[in-house]
Amino acid sequence: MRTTRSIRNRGRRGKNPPIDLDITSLLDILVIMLVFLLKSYNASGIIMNVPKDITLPSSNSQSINTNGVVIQVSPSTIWVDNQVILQKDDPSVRKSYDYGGRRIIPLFNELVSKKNLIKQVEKTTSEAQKFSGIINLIVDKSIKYSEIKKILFTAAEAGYKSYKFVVLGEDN
Amino acid sequence: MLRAPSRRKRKEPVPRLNLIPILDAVFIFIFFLLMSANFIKIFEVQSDVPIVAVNPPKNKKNPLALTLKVQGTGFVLYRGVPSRYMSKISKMPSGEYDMEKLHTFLVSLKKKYAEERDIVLEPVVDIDYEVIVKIMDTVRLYRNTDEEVWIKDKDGIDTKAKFLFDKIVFGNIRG
Repeated sequence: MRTTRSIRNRGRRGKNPPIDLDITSLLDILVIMLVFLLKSYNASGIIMNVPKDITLPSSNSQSINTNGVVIQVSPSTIWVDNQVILQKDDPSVRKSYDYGGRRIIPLFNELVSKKNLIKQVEKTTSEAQKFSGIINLIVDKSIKYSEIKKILFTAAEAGYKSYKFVVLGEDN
Repeated sequence: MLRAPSRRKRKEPVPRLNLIPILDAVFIFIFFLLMSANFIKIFEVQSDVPIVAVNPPKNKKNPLALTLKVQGTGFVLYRGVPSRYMSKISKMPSGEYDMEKLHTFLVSLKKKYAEERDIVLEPVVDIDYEVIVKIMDTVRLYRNTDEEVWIKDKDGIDTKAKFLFDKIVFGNIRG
């Protein structure tokens, strides 16, 4: 206290220069991060949840995803919008098919209720998203065509008119 | 040697740019991009539900009505209504489907029917979904090495065809 208030230091008091931070390196990092994030920017704004049991096939397609009801199909389970619809190892799974084993009943019921819900919301407000009839199919690459055929048939029966097969870009 | 008398120079402080506003903007931008970033590139391949029409199409005099059947031995191509046999592409000795041959055949077909974009896909055998996606890629997309095909747009201007047969319909899902 004495030294700071002494007559000798009177002239210097309060004249310490402010610490000058060099933020050049921080700016460099931020710019690199910005470029990296701009490159991985998702223009569609749609977030697809791929369950861990599902390995997507790769494709050359560059078409951006569109909004719709999502069906996820793994070798053991079928989901609709992340909700489990059918467990294939369930003992009662045989009762889940009709039309000669071509239609999956729980999937059909869920898709119809989703469609009705969207149409109900559509009536309440003019700004609501219209029913597009689009099904986004997130299917494991090892699933056989006979299984996919059942899902496509069930979706068509439920009133959906367009399938979008979700695939992995080749550059991944 | 005499030295010139020293001159006292007043050093003017170097003006420093105020980077705080730009740093704020960059930080906000980074958070926005982090929220909407997609680190795994996911795309889609489109297909429509097959619709059985009662009446024949009005405009097309002689539609191609291309059908690709995927059999255990290879691909078989049909055309026209009712469908007539066109060509067969057998599997390679390795047991894999010959995608290159199929693609070359479809490119040559596209030259004759430049306006056509429809194809009916009918896998007869129980193939993997991965193989189906590969077949769809083969029939849908042009490659950079393919011979260019030009089509007339609505205004009558020649434009390069971007797709081969990209309107895929699974023909046998109701069967």
